[in-house]
Amino acid sequence: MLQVIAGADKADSTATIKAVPDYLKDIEKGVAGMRIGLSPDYFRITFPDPESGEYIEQALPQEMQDAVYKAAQVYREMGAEIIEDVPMPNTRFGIPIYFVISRVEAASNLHRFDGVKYGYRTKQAVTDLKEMYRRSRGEGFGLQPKLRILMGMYVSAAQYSEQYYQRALKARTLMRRDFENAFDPNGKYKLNALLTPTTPTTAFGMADVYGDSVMMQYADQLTVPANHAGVPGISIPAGFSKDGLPIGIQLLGADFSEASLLRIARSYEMTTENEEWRKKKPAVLEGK
Amino acid sequence: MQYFTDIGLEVHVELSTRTKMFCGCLVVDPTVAQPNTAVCPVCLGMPGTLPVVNKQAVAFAIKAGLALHCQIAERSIFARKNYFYPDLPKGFQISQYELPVAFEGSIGITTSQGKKNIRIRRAHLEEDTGKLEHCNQQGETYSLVDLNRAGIPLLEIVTEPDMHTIEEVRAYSQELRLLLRYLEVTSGDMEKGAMRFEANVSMRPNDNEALGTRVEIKNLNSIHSMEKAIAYELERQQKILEEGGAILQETLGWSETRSETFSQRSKEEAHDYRYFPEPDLPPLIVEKTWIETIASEIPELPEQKRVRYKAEMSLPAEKIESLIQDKSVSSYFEETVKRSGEITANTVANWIVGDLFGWMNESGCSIQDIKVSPAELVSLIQFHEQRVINKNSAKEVLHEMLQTGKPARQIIQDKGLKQVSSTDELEKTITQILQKFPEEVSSYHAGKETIFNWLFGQVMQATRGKGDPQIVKVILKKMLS
Ligand SMILES: [Zn+2]
Repeated sequence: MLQVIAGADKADSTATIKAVPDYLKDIEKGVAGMRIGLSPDYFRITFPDPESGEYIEQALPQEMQDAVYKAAQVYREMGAEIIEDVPMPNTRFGIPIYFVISRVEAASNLHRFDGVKYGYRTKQAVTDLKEMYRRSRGEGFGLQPKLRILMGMYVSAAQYSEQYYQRALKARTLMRRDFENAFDPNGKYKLNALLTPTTPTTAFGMADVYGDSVMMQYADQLTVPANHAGVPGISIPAGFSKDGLPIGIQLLGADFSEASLLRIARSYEMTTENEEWRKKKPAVLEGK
Repeated sequence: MQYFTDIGLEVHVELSTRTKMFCGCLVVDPTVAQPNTAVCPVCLGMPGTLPVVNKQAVAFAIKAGLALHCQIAERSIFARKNYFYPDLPKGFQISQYELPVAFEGSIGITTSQGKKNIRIRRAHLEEDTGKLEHCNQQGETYSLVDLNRAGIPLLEIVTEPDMHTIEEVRAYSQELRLLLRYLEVTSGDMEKGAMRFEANVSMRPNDNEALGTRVEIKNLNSIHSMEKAIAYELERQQKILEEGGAILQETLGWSETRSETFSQRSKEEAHDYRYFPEPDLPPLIVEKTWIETIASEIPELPEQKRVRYKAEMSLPAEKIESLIQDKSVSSYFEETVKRSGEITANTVANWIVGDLFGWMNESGCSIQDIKVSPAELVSLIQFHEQRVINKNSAKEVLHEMLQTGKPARQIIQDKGLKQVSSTDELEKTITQILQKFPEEVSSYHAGKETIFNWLFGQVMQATRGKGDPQIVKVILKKMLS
């Protein structure tokens, strides 16, 4: 699918005009000689304490960590070099950055639903334009978009932008720098890929509710960095927890390294092809 | 006490690209096209659409930036300016904020006080909004939205507050318009809204003090309205300051019908546009080589023409100004001069500024439409210079050339307008006139010299204007003495 959607799009200026490589050509050529990194910053989540505002660190559940170490061992055996302790110190800003930037963009994107041309327009009689806007948007939007709009408007307002939106942009640049350092072919680490857990926990149980735990609120902490930094990433299945819930591992690479990420991912898939967990079906399909 | 005035301008210039700023819609004449016929999902702001930058608009912006002696940013950023208004379908306008495409330039102007430079702070690209039409039918009021204009590329050119008189404001605006028209980046047609103005006006006791509190006058649709609005505003501010009052920082509108400014928004009510970088567009990167190519395509500009016409042709300043106000006129003039041989540039200029302009005014033709080519104009001027026809006949011939497009030679032949310069023939006519008006001749001899011109007129009439006036004068004088 990537092969089909990749490349220039004359209706989308953010799409690259770089030539699209043949992603399948070398996909089964293994990982011998590649440098794959592990970062301690992906084995914990860091978040501000709601009471004190201090940063708190919490280690990921052991079985999440084990899945990654196991994969690293598989790669080592296939001839890759595993580089430990790669610093990615700005990973902890992922969620806060996301909360700010995405809200600002969402608020702006939703401006067009103003009752003039798009979306719902209030049925009530209004005396002026402002009231029409207020009622249409007030009645038309649900709770989630309203929260996003309010937060987006707040953090981009002239008097707060410096504190929030501008800072989020700066933090995003720092995050990008973490990746540049890790993948720099002339740098200290020279990584082909960074190997991390996809999420801080296993997939949630069917009955779990959003906000149940800190781990759940920070579920995206390990995946948003790639989006902020603009680097490619791939998530692949890597087994199950003792409760039978799936665990994913993630590979992150330098700009336009999709082909080698696919190759590294495929290597893991090939090597673990015959393992018992691969035969397992999702619990819902097994009627549990 | 006369306060010192500081005025800065923001000029919105509609770029004359074929298509809109971020989509492929054709740019149409807003006064002609049916409403909402030049629109597409992108400029209608439909959810899910993405903007794509119009390269021609960027090229025009760079061209204008270079001609305004600006630095061109090799990397500039599009930003969203967020606000609600029915003429803005997306609820935000894509503009440039922190990093504009051109910055720190200047333009020279000339006023009765001499020459001076106005600094350009920045010039940035943005998209135009749609247009509202407010209706009132049988007591019911409503507004209609036309989005044909939405998305047309605009270049906003912002000056430093370097203007201190209305004369300078006028000179700047006219010079800017002239320059941009020379570059062919805009029609400059103010009646169609191709140039719109905003003025920042403030006053201070003298130019050693810090700048005074400024007001912003928005939505000025012509240089003339702007002059009136600023004049009104200066008088208002002067009065407040003289009475010991303070100027409020606010945004003003200008009412053409009431000829006064009115408050639109105070400082507290000022919009917070929540500018942020447009996530759907990457930074605008322009390569040095492209800038160089554009620079090499810039034609000779008005100021360069002024200098050259003066140096090479010694034309008086006023005539130069008339000739360069329209690039097509100046090219016509230059083409004519190129072919004019012995005829001086000044003579050519006289014919163009006098008779040709007269005809253009009278007929509503532009220089491109007139039926007389530079070569034909030269041949007409030659007929006159070589005394084949006199001035009046020449004017008559030119008029006919302009109407019919016939060559000068043919008209002269057809009308038998060839000037009579044979002495014998003229002597005969003059003798007849002198015999016809003995009384007048006597009073001339008695010292009433003004009668000479009257007699001269009689002779010219008798030749039906074909007599060579120089020769007629000489013979008449000789025969009278
Ligand atoms: Zn369009």
